[in-house]
Amino acid sequence: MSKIKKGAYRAKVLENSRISYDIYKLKLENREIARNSFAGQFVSILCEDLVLRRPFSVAGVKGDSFEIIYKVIGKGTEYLSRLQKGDFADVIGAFGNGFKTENKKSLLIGCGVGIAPINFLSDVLKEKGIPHNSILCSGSKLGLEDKFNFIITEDGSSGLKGRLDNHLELIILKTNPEKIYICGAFPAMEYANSVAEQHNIDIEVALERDFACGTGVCMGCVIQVRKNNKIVNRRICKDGPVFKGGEVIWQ
Amino acid sequence: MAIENNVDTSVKIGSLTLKNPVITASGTFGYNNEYEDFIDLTNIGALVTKGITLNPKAGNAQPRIKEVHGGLINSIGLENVGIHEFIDKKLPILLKNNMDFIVNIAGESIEEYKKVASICEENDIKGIEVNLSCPNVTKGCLEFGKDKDTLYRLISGVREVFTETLIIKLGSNVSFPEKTAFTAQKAGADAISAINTVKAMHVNINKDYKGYKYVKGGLSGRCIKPLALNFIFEIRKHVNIPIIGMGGITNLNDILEFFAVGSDAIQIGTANFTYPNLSEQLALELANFIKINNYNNLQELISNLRIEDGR
Repeated sequence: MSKIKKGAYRAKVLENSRISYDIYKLKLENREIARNSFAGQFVSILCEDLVLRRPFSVAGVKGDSFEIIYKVIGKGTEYLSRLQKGDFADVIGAFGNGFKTENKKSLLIGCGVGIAPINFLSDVLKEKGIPHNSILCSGSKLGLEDKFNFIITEDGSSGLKGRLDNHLELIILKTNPEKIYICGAFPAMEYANSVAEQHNIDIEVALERDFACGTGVCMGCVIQVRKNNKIVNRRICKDGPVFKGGEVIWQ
Repeated sequence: MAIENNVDTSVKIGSLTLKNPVITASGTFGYNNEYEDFIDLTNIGALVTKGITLNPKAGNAQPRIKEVHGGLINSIGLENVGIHEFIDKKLPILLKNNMDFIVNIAGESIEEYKKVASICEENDIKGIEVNLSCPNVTKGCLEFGKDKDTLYRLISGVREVFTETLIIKLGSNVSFPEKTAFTAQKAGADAISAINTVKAMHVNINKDYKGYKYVKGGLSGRCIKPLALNFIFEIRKHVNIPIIGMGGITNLNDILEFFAVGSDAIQIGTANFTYPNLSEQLALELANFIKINNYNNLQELISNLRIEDGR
C-alpha cells in the first residue's frame, strides 16, 4: 500500500461564503485531501501566526475540492473568514477514524456547526442508498436547511421551535431508526445517547475538544471511555473523533 | 528523500553520533513512527520518545492544553504506556524503521528512575534523557531539579545502572541554573538538554465577572525562547559536556541563536504541532546553510558562531 502523505498541503480557496450571522462555508481545492477523506474526519488548518492549527470537520467533498463549515469565535476563525477566492490555506489531513456506516435505517443529527460532518455523512449514505432522516438543530436559522428533513431552531426562525430534547423522542417514534449519528455540543450528544440507550438504538457520536497536535502524539485531547469494563483514555483526534455513544464517560 | 549534499552535520552526544543536530523533543513526536506521514524519519538527528515511567500513567484530568500568545500551556501529566509496554510494543518499531532515538524517562522516586534506566540498559538502548522538571505533575521530578544533593544522588544513581549516553533534561524553574548544570555534569551526565517547559498559568475570568477558571501547566513555544537562550548562555560557562538546546525553535535562525549561546544540538518541540514536517526541513536547511557559507562541517559553523562572546 502506498503511503498517504498527510500534508502540509496548499489548498486553494474556491469559495468562502457567509451563510448566516457568524457561520461560514469554506470551499477548498486539494486533490489529496478531497480524494482521501471520509465523513467524520477532520483537517487541521494553520491560521496565521497562531501556535496551534485549528481542526475542522470535513463537511463534504466534490471532485478535487472539499468544504468546511465554521463559526467565527476567535482569532483562528476570524482569519479564515478573511480568506478570499484564490488565496491559499495551509491544511493537513484528513485525520481521525470517521463514521462507520452500516446498512441500517439511520437518523443523523447535527447541532450548530456540528452539522458539518453530518452533512458529509448524509451525502455518503445517499450515495450508498442507505435510508436516513436528518435533523439540523441550531439556535437560529443557519441557511443550510434545504438538505435536512427536520429543522429545529431555538428561536423558531425555521422549522420546529425548541431544542433537541423537545423533539427527539417524537422524531425517533416517527422515523424508527436503527442507528443514530450525532455531532454537536457535549450536552446534546449526552442527551441523544441516553435516548438512544432507552430505545436500544446504536449511536455514534463525533466529539471535539481543543487539540494541540491533532495527530495523536500529545495526549492533550483524551477522553475517558469504557472498554471491557475498564475505564481507559482515548485520544479524540486519533482514536476518534467518532466513538460509540455507550462507551463514552460523559462529564 | 535522503538529505545528501555531502555536508558533515554530525554531532557527538556522549557515545552517540547523530547524523545531524536536529532532534525532536519529548512529548511532541510520539513513541516511534507517528510522524511518518509527514517526514522521512531517518532524516532527523534523533527522536526523543514521550516521557516513560515504570508503570503506565493515565495523566491529568482535562483541560490539558491551552494556547496562549506565542505559546502553549500543557498539563498532560506524563500520560504514557509504561516502560514494559514501551519495550514490548514501541521499541521494535523504532528498530525496524532504523530510527535514531533517545528514550525520555521520568519517575517519582530515585528508585523508579533507576529501575526504568536499568530496563533501558538491559534492552540495549543507546541513549536516555532524564526528565527532572516536568512542571505539571504534582509528585516527583520537579523537586529533583531543585535540590542539588537529591539531584546528585538521582543522576549518579542512574549513572550506576546505565552505561550508554545519559542526558539530563533541566527546566528553568531553578534558582541557580549554573549550579544545577554543574551538579549534573559532576554526577556523571554525558549531556544536558534544556529547557523543559516553564511553570505557567492561564486565567479566564467568568463572563459575569464573578470568579474565574484556570489552567496551570508547563509553557512551551516561541514565547519561551528568550528564557531558553539565557539559560543555556548561563550554564555553558559552567559545564563542558554537550548541551542540547530547546525552547521555541521554529526556524533556522533560531537554531543558529541556540548554537551561538552554547548549544551543540537542538530540539524542536511545540513547533512540530504547527508544522509537522519542520524537523526534516530544518535539518535540510541547516545542511544547505553550512554548504553555501563554505563551512567544512557543522562544528566549524558552531565555533564561528561562538567567537563573539559579548554585546
